[in-house]
Amino acid sequence: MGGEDVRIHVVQSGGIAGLRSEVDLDTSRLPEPLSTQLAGLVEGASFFGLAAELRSRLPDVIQYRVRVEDDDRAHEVCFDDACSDVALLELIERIAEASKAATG
Amino acid sequence: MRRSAIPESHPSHASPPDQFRSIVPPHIFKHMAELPETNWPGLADRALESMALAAELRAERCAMAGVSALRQAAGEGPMRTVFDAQHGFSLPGHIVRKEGEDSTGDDTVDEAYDALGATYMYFSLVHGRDSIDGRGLRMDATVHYRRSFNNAFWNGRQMVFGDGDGEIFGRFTRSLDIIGHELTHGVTQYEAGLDYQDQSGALNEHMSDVFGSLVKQYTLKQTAKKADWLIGEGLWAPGIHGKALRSMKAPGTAYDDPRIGRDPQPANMSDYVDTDDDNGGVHINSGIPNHAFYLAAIAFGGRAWSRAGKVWYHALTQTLRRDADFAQAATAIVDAAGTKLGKSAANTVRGAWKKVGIEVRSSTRRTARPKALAGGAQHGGRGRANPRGAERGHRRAS
Repeated sequence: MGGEDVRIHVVQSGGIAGLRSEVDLDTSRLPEPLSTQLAGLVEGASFFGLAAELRSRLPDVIQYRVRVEDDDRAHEVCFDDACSDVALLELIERIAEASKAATG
Repeated sequence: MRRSAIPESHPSHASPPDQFRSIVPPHIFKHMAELPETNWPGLADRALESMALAAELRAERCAMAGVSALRQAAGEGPMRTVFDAQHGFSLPGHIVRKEGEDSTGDDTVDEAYDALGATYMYFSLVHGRDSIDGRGLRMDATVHYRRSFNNAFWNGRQMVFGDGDGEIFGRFTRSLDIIGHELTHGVTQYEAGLDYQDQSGALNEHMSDVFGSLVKQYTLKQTAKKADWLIGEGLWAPGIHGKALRSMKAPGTAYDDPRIGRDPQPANMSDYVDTDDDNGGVHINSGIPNHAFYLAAIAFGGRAWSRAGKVWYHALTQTLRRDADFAQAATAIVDAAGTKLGKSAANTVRGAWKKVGIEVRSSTRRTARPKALAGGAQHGGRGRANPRGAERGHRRAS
């Protein structure tokens, strides 16, 4: 995948505050190197091969419902801060940074 | 007979004079507490109240005598360790402060250490509980977790604190009741093991809010009337329009800001929120039982931990089932009030639940749950025994 454009939709909920938020990103509209980094993190997390549910059901962890689409595939994964691997957590952090950059 | 063997004018922070410590021997109170309500109306209730007050004063004397007395009173005392993740993902990180060591100068580390101690003290002195598992479990906490991490959570073994991003949240160690909240998730894990989904999940959150608030009230020696009943006061970053994350006194009023939305908590079953997010809205619908607790504590008067807190603790540790819904929890808690404090207290608690839209009918005998297996209750493999709850109108989350 690497340089391919992807569209990312994230719904975040839970955490001790129980706040809910949504983010939509299209890497084709992001500046470099952010666009390539995000696409690389999706690939590095093997996102399209992940199970759909990776939730721990531990209290107060932040939960994420992430949907990623490219030209050929679409996949959605529900996970949280307690059960996911570092690659997924890094992806979430970078999505948050990209969203902040995109909205100014 | 006086309402209590301890004068009501007795200052709460001082030790009682010796002559009041054993004016009525405990075995006489115990006998009176078992007298039938029909023959001696209110007598058993007053005897139980006196026993509770005496135990509380004994506990306060221990607290004032310092940690060595605490260790004698309940187990070996707290065994705290604070770790630093240095903004990384790995847990627990490296040790920065162990039990008995001096302050580090890092506010986050020292706030976590102190709040772990305050929470230990509360559960030990009020409920006779030795740490999270009741058996002196180490209290571990990691601070500076990840970068700008907007959360604090209990991961089944330890506490984890983020520093906040400075835009929405400040550091999470600032709030004593939040740390009490998280550690109570550990207590629940070892006791009722409430499933973290839908209504049982909201009850899990509710118990953490109850005892988080009580840790704060106990530390500040506040009455129910004087307490703020806020959860997470001071956590919002400057500029966010909100006083806390939640309000037990007035659910739905804790914050209202364009960046984070408006506090969605209901205070009554008629406004129950049906949603798939956040494990079925566990942080939203907890407002309903939270308000019931507040109403019960205010109705009892005095200090919330003395009566309402003991009733709720009894239910959490003795009778609540892991898949309980709100109606079942209300029944268990009303029964706990009858068991711990007598019939009039049960009616007080029943009235509190009724005001939040949950009716508990009188019953002479109910069945207690089998004791939960220690330690394994929160993890995976459960169905949704109470996906929405019956008999109530639901407001769908937007």
